[in-house]
Amino acid sequence: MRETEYTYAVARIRANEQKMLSKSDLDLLISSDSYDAALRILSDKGWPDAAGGSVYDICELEMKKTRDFIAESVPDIKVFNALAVGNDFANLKSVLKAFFSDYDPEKYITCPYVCEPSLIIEAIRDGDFSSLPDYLSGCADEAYHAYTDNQSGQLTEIIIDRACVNTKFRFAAMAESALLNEINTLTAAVSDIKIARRSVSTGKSREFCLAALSGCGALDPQTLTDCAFEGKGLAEFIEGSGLPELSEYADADFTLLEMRCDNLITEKAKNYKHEIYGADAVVAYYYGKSAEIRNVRIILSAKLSGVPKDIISERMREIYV
Amino acid sequence: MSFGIMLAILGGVLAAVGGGVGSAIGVGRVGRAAAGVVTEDPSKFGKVLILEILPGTQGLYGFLIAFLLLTQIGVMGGSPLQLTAAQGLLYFAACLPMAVCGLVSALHQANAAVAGVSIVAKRPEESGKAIIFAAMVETYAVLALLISILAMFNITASINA
Repeated sequence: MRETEYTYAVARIRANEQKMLSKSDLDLLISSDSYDAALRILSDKGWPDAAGGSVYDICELEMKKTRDFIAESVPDIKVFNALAVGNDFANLKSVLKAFFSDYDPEKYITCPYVCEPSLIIEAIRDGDFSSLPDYLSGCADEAYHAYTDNQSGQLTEIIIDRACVNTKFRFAAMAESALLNEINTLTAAVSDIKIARRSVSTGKSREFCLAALSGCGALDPQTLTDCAFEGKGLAEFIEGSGLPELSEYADADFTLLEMRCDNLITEKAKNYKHEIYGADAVVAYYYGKSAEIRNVRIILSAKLSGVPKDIISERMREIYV
Repeated sequence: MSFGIMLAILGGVLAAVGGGVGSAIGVGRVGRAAAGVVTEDPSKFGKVLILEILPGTQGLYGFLIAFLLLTQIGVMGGSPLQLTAAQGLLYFAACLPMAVCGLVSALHQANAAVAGVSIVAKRPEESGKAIIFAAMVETYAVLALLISILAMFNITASINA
């Protein structure tokens, strides 16, 4: 698809960026007296009026608005699919666990998705995965047997997570989005770092760690496993693998590592803020809006729990506008 | 009909097609961007309309050159001149600046205008600057138009002398 085909979508995005929350809006939210006062500010800024709704409901409504906006603006659904395909794997995981734990799988569906959740539910109920899309059927079959034959929840997660990362890269290539590819590389690397460190802290074997790593990011799985298990050289290895911006967080708390990852994604998205054509501008807006919603979720949750303002400020993610 | 007059008419056709195609693509491209902004804020219609019109001028210039050429070589009056191949080639060459520059400048002006639409979307008070950025590209289309007209009139004058 020619990148000029995205002209309409990009123009709508530029007009919509005006409605995004600025730094001063977030400061105003942080300094608001209560949860209800914060909700009133959000409502004035055009957020869904969800009086009496939970933090999750409010953020989910705003996210749905963003997804609908992108879906109706883009000329080619490939870019939207590339943003949503990760949720198909999250849904597969949830449905599989819910089904065998006698919970209602419908309650654990994450939106947006590419594959209809009813197809996943049906496939798991019948043990027949041929009706699922190609990218999902093989992984679903393998994960299903790992769960039913080996009773291994961890192995199931590894199978699904690895397939998810691979599929996200494939869909990003189809959507012709360099930004999405950069973001996938970064998130795969952060996920691998967390898996390696968690494997060590929970006493897992090197073999388990190697099997769990996606290997799709910039980090070589073998060296990452060696560094994590030997407890040295992780920061240098990450720096040498072309991710110097992550190296100082190599041994940091996972919350800080995730925050750094979120901020890096927003920084990357900002590079495409002035693009006039192409799918990357759409992807940048999506991640910018996601960062905004994450910040609002943090603020509202903190307001409900009575967290002090300076602590909330520390947890704020980089904003896109 | 002589080979010379065929060459001259071909030049006129190229000028009209180059400018026309460039303008059609350019106006269409800016139109998509303008539609995106107006979807979100209909009050910006007037501002984005000016930007959409800008890449359309090359089509008019191409039409003007083709019309003048047909007049100069007598095709419009129904009595075409008997041009030699060299004279026909001169008219053909006179039309080329408008043909090439019309096409290229319309496409680039459209890019500048699409970027201008983004300015209008985010900072409507700066729309004048957005129009100036896009209008700067027009300079080169106007220069091409002038050189094509000057060349054509001087060729006619030298043939009649």
